[in-house]
Amino acid sequence: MQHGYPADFNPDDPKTAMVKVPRVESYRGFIFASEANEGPSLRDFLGHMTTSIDDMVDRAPDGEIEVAGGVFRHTYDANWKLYLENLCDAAHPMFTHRSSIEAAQQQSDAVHSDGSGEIAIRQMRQNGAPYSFWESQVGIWTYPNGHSYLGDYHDDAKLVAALKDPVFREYIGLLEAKKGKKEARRVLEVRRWNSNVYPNLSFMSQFQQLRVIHPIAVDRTIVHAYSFRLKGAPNQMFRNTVSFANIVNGTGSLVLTDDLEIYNRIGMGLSSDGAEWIEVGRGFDSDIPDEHGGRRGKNSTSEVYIRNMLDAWVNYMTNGSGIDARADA
Amino acid sequence: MARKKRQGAEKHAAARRATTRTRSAGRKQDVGPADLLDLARCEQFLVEEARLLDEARFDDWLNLFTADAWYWVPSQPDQPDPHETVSLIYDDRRLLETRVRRLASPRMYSQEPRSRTSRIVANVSLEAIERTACTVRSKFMMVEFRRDSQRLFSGTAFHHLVLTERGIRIAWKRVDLVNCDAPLDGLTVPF
Repeated sequence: MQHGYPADFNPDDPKTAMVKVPRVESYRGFIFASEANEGPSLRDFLGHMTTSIDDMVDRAPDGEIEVAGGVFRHTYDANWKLYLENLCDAAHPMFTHRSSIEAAQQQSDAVHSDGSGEIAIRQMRQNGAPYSFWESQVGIWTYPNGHSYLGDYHDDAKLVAALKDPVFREYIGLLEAKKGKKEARRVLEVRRWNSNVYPNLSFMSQFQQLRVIHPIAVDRTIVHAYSFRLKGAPNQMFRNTVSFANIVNGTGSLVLTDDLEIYNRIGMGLSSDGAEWIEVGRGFDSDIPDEHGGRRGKNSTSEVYIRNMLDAWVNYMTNGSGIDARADA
Repeated sequence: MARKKRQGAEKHAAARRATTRTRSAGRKQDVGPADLLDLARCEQFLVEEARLLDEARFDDWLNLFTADAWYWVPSQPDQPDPHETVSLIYDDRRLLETRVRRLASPRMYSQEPRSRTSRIVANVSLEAIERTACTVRSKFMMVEFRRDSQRLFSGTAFHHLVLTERGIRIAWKRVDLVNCDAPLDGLTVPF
């Protein structure tokens, strides 16, 4: 190691050693690193969002999950914030995804499927739920530090692996055997769609999906989407997870491609001088305070979660005096 | 003026006849009892397939597949199967139909404006051949132009072709992109 280097070269010297991350903590196996020397503990930072991570892990009969099945890496030419702004947006599916909703609605179920296409088509049809469904049966919850989740989207009767499905029945049996009927019921009754841990994480505890958002430039973003295997669950369940990942997070998905297109278009629009502001006021007058220091929309189409993220962003950018800075603007 | 117009019409008709000739020649070959799949026929089939895709004739493209076909674009080099690892595209016949139907939708925003593509198919070889079925390996390059920019895709395609009463059909198709594990913007036009 010393060969060729000056005599005083010391690989342990912080000035020349590999850079250490100042703070590392983990929660239920998920490791979080912070490049800031000081800041809140991981528990304080996550707050009530720990319950979404709990939901992710609790669903495994053996109490552990593992990253499996490869990764999607998709990109778009626009700002990283747009990705998180979309993931809890209950208003967009019936507009953005109209082409895949209609194509799936018109699809004959008599045509051959090995099971994977069936899962994809069911999800696309679900996206076509009427506006009244999004307004009344889905909720949006937000919490300090910019976090949020969209809840009550899929109930068990509409699950990708529905209650009638023999694989899902087998899974419930295994979960009950390991955790008891009462706990199994509690676990399965948590119904969260996307949980966003601001500013770079979004996961779907119910469907074993997790995305990490990587800002590359102000107008360039790369997202990595991972799948998880529930340890102790039937293997077919993991195969269903892979099929689900392909339609929800796949680079060639019939659904995601329209989301990426919209991010690109917004990126183009924002780069123009045409308009200085974007309105994110939907639900502003009807949002209500909630437990755990949070705030939620009266219904799921409120943009409260975007305002919540921007509050956190302004706070980070102004070293904590965010609300004052906003008032001055 | 009238003569010029007639010449134009004749030219169109000739082009149409040429297309028809090629197609009917293909059909005629298909029904022969002693008919076999060989390299020349497979290569011609792949070129025709690429043309359908470049011309955005996706319904015709779909008709090239068998009733239980699958179409696969893996997300990893040497990916062993489409069920335990995610794929850029993995469509069973039912999902492939939905994909093609969506491609015709005016509300498919990721194809507004439409992509224009240009493909070259080459280095065709037969990997395994029986009398009426074979696996064909080929190389392809596809340029996709959309809005203001151009993307280049290249890789190896495997077609499992079967000879049916309706002609050559694709039982499965696997497309290995050289950059399958790179960060990619949305993939909308099939390879």
